[in-house]
Amino acid sequence: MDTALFIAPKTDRTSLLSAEDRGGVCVDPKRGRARLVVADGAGTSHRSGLLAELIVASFFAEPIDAPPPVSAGDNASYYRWHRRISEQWTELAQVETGTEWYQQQNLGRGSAAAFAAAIVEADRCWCLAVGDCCLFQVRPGANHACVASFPMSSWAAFNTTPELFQTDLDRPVIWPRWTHLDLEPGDVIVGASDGIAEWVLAAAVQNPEVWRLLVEMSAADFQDVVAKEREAGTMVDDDTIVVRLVTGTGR
Amino acid sequence: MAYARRIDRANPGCILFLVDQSGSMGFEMVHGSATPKSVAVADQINQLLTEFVLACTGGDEGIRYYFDIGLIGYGERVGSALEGALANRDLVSIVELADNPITTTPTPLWLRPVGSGGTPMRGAIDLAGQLMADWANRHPDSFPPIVINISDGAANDGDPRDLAARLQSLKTLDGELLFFNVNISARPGSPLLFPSSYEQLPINDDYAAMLFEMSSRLTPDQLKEASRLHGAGADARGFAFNSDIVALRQFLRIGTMVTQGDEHTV
Repeated sequence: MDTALFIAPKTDRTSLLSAEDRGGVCVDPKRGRARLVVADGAGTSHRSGLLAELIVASFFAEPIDAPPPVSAGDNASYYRWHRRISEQWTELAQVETGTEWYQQQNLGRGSAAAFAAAIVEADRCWCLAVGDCCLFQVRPGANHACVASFPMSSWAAFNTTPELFQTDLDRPVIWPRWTHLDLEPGDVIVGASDGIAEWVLAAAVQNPEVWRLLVEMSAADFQDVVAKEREAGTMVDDDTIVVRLVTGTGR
Repeated sequence: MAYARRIDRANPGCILFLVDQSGSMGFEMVHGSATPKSVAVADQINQLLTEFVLACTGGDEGIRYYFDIGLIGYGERVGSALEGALANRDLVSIVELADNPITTTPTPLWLRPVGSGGTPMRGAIDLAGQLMADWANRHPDSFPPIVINISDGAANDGDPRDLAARLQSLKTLDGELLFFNVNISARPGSPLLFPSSYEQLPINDDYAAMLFEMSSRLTPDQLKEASRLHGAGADARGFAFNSDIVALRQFLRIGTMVTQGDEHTV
């Protein structure tokens, strides 16, 4: 199982650390298990990079041979996970928030983020997502093909007001969307934040070779593509993350 | 495509409010209520500025310089309505605004209600033209400035239409300046929000026709929201007539919509 992670902060960031996207991938090749997650903090909500970080960290908190922290379609399991992350965010954000009136008001409003996560068990992959981070299942071949795109299947479905994971526990919980994928050896799972996911889906309409690029690109290729497409105005200038997992080839 | 520029630190936006502070603004907003129009307008603008500040202080980086903001009052005089550390400043950054409200208790306040003197709207639009010409020159790649004029009566320092046309001719590479007008009133009758033709205006009302003429068309994003919420037509303009408090609030939220930073709208 090969993995890769690429990140490009939006151009007016003062540092990489202030980007609000986080992601990761964790594998146990012997058991054919892996977990992959991308999270994108909402830029207008308070300490959203911290929230993205907690979503990713909590997804990897248990050993990979333990049951996943959230179970497919199990609302109680998701509710516990959501509550735990929200409480952690509130505790940490209180410590890290200044005393200015706007900082305190924002703290009271809580934070928000989109995320998409995959749990790979042998030849099956469970996917969950809240908001507009995406997972793509790409099958390499003479012509690389997108087998599945979740939860968004079209660039036209993106908008500026996606449903988000909210830390404010007084608000109704936004339940994730779930799906499962049947994997073939060598299938590639790609997690992507909304800006690049929207661009990939739009570009693929005219040029299916974009799936090959997504699977084969190096870190330098990724930076080049992001810079070029932002300049052309075809990719939103936003924090951008891609996490890639090539599933087992030896089964 | 015009009005597509996202607002970020490299390309901040600019929103300028022209606020009628004439004597008639001290009269009640709604028949039988104790709230003067000046208080209702100041409340709405202070709430809106609070939302702007909070929207610019998200994420992990502290407050972001996404906007320049101006509050120009016109009544006994024409000039900045800001006070305290920001007194006499025509335009201030959102960072300065956040750090310098007059008070934060019980809520942040930058604009105090004032109702005194005449209605020198022409003078206010003239000043807006000078400020926005300078701003547009310094920010050629930004989303164009938005100027919102809130008044309860006609100008008594001359016909402002020529100055309004000059104001609307200012532009950045992303489009022409947006000049929107709100008439507030205690008169009975339904508010008219975002009309798209003269036929929708009150019959034989020259004042309404003048404000409509002076008002820019909504941007595509604003029009989409105005259509969804108020059934605005294709050529809807940023104009409200006979507005009450609710209509003023709705107007300000749509009239100041821009795409900010990463994905959210203010």
